[in-house]
Amino acid sequence: MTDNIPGNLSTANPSNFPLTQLYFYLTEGCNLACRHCWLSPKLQTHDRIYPVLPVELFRSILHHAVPLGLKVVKLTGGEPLMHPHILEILDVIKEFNLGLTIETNGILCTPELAKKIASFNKPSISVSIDGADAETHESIRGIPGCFDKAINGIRTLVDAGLKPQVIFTLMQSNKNQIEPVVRLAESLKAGSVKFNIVQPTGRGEMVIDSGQALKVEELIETGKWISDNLSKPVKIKLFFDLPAAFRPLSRMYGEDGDGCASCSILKILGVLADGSYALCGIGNHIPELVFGNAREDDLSEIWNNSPVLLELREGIPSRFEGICGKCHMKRVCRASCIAQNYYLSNSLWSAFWFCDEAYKKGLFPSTRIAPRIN
Amino acid sequence: MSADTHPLIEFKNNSIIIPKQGITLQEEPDNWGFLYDPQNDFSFGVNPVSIYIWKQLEQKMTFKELTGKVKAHFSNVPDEIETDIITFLTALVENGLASIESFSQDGEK
Repeated sequence: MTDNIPGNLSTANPSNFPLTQLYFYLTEGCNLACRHCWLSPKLQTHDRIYPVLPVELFRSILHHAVPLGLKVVKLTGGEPLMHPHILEILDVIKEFNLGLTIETNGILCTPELAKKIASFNKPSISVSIDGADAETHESIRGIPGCFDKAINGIRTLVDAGLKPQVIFTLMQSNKNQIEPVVRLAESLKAGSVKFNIVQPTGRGEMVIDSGQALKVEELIETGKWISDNLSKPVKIKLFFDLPAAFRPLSRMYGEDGDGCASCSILKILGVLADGSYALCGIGNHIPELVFGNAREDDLSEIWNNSPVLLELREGIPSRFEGICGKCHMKRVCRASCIAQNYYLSNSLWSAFWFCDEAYKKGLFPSTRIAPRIN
Repeated sequence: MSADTHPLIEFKNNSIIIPKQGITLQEEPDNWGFLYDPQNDFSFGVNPVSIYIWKQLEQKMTFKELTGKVKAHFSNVPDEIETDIITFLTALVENGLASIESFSQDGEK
């Protein structure tokens, strides 16, 4: 009966903030050149090979992170399956008995890899598909032939008993393929489809500036259509990555609600391919959000004493500014993506660009604004 | 946990719940909403049943009266409704949105 919106943070005591997840950006390079990628990795080819995180350094990081509370490892990129020792990496995660999340473009997924991933306890894996046909997908992903390989990757994962989530990033060029992609995901027996919004970071900034992304009002409308219409006739679960302020409470917390996606910023740390510890992948762009390097720095010291992390623990949610400071959802949403906000404003506390723009256009839901400061 | 073993069973028998002054309720189109405490800048999400209970609290009723109202107002009320109501009221008190007030044995509030 109660539906408390949790997250009342009263103290910055480090013991209250276990480091539960590490996000490993395993490879500096990527085998695709997606036009909207927020991390902007370098395109790796046969004659251009970029550094990856060494397995022994990976093992050492887990060794130091487990006492701090580590439960789950996320492998992302670049492209995690491009790591030349990905099977060993998976073995190390298993040695430490940790949970596994993988974000991949799917094209290097072999039956051996899929079987290994499926051997984890409830692994989570997502594969990016940006169109229901090769032409659309490849025009966004930048490499001919990658569509069929990605589809085969999903099939391989499903054959191994996994239920991969399809990630679909909405743009002007693929907005007419929402339903076809959902149908494709259903036919492949994927577990769910998640619709992402292009973020103005890295190459995504150019996509937005050039008008290739959907406008805020289009995104709100599309999210509503997916939730109210498309999700009803389809069997597969659909998630739309709108900020929590734009989603009905009943859809998040009611019976069969899918919860509220919130920034995990207070319990995660990113590890870049060169061994750097960073707030998350944003460390690839913002040097001041890199806190040290696993080759020389003590993880415990970084996690417990990094000034940026301490500032976040002390300031969330009371220091959020603009519309995020006024929003009922601020304790769970946490300004959606603090890394993104910093990238745009050099402030940890500025409002999320999407909500800010919606507020200025009169599109922010009035019932989500606290009355005291309305 | 059944209602009879709940730590706040005393509250169930001998108290009424008084909403804190200044709390606002903002209702949304799907009949869910937020209780907001401007003093502490604290928002608390509530579902339609919780909203109904919150509105009844303004009339200062006992737990028994409150439970009766909920049972009469909603259809298909589950058996564990008393536990649910106590859990909700406890959350209100713990989050500073309401307070407990004792009433005398003869029922005078």
